[in-house]
Amino acid sequence: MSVTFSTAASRFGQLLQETLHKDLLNFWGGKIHPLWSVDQALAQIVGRQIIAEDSITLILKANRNVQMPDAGQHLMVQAQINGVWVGRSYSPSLLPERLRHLSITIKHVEGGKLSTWLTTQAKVGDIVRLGQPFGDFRLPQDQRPVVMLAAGSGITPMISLLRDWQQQPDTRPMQLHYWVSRREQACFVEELLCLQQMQPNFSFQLYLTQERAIQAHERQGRICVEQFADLSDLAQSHVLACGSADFVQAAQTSLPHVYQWQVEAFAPPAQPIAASDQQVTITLQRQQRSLSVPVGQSILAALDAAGIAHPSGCRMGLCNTCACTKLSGTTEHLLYHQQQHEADSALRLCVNTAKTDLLLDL
Amino acid sequence: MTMLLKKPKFRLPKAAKTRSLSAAELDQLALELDALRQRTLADLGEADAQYIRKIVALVRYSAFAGRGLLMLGWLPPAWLAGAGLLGFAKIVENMEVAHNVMHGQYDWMNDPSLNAKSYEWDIVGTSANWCKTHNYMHHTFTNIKGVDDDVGYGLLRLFPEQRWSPFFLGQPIYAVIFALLFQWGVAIQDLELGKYFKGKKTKQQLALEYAPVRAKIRKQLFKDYVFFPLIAGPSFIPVFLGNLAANGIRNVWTFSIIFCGHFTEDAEIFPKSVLDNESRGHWYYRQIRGSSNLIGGRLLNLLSGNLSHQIEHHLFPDIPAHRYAQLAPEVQEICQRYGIHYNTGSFAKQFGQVVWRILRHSLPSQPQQARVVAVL
Repeated sequence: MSVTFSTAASRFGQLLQETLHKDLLNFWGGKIHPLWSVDQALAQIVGRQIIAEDSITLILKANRNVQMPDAGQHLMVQAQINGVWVGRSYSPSLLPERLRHLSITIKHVEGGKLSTWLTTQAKVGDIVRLGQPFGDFRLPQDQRPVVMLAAGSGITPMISLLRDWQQQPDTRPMQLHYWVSRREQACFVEELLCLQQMQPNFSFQLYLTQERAIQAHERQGRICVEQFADLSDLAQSHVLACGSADFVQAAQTSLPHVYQWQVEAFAPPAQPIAASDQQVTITLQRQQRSLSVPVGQSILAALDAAGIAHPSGCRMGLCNTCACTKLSGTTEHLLYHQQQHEADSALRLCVNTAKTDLLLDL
Repeated sequence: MTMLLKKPKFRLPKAAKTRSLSAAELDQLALELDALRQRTLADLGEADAQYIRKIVALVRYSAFAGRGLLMLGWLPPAWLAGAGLLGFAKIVENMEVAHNVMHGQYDWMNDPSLNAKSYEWDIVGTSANWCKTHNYMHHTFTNIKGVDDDVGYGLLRLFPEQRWSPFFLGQPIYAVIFALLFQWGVAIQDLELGKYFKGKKTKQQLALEYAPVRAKIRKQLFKDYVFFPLIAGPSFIPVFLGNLAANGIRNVWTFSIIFCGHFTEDAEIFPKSVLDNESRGHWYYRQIRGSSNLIGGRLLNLLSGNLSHQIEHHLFPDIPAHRYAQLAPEVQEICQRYGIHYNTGSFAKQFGQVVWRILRHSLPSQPQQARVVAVL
């Protein structure tokens, strides 16, 4: 008797949950306060500050669905631009004096969708969606010296790590080397000079690649071996590097013998590939499978050829049966030749071909 | 140049309103319509996103107001207004939101609540089944006899090409019942009960296919006939009856709009043979010939989910439906140049023709003399 009652009760509960489903609750909750949501990880812009020539800092207040990142980690930030949720990843800093607040620093990238919108149009009160934190950048547990190398927006995970370190500083030698084109583009300089004053074991160098060095903390030139010639204990040091793929490669060439590397490189912008004899790799994330396919073949045909079952219908790009989410990579429409670079976008497999390696949510 | 078709019974309307097109013309037609699609898709943006959000809000507020009024439903005016508002909300949800979202028209927004693969609509049928029977089967094989089940739903005989049997004598009655219970017809359509009764489908297979439908039915019945009546307390009965009426209103209206889309007098059906190597141009051509529009202004556009522009919808099922009214003049111009009849009329006229079909073909009828037509 009690078994039937509890089954009925749980079924009632399930039906109740389906009646008051999340889209309905999110709609009405959102009318009361824009951050109220049953499941969506949202944040509201509560502060905005111009901190360099082409960079701003936004202070975000996160709702309870947001998993707060550790210092040094990245997360995807999505904003609605012309009706579409567009996402890119940024490396936030935590604000210890304000619970559930984050600060993200965005550098305006020429032609960049989200960076342009965030630096020019985002205002206090706007809502953004946040993804799960990811990344393994962290200060090592041991007390070996740490050398941080950052170029451009690569400064953001470093500043996050340093701010976190400042809460409970230790005595190991810490160095930050930061490259920018011109001093107007450098972020956090005052904060870093202040930290250098307060923590004798921390030192900071700013490298200008397009201007002459003037101030005491400034040096000139792109990253090269000579800049590290007088560092004696590199072989015992942890080196963290963050910047463009080119910078990170140059860094590893310039410091050949270190104790351990931690590296994060920003991927270069997607380039359309013209060659038709090329093969690319399509990875199915959920099924944990990869296949090598020729550029120009429809992705559905490639799955068919590999014997991978996938729902399909009209096979002419209209009925949407074969649609799935493309997590990353560039595709081209077989009929209209439009290329699509965006992460996390809907893709009809029957009328699109891979132009670069793809990651699909299948 | 004309050729005798191997398959007979290829009926053209009485006045041969559409001329036959050569393969080259069909290719040209495809290029023009493809270009129109591309231009429109490239233009999608903020305005379209704001539109669908506004419509979702309209549905939610109307449903809230309707359900609220039904809780005062012992007063007849409140009951009528409540049932009407809730019926309106259900109609707009079904036609302008659900049908369009499930076609993937708003997938480009990256909004999980407007994604075709995850949207679950407010009827007893599952979205998954609808996506299969409608998005795939109906839109790919539009008006093809024996393939497009929407031609009569296995219940009504709408074209003389369909074989007559005494069963169809009762179809005026079946049509009324079907209209009142339309959401149930949609729910079971993909179960293909005909196959089960003919022994082509096992009981186990049917049970497997029925399981998700049963779960959806249970959820819908709970929502409208247990949950809302219960929370209304003393107004249990008015809320129960009001929800029943609202569902009925939605059923009859969606039945009417859907039938007006393909079963007016000049709408044509096609034999399976047209599918052999059907070109993209011929697919477009067949969509126009099998579809019909309604003239009725912005309210009719909203209430019909823009299926007042059934022709544009069948040409471009993945373009957000509120754009069809903008596209219509250009589509009409293309049709005129190619000599394709653009079937449109008032709701009264078009629906009248649908009623006539239901009545006429309940009795034995023969297709017109098979005319030869060149489809190269």
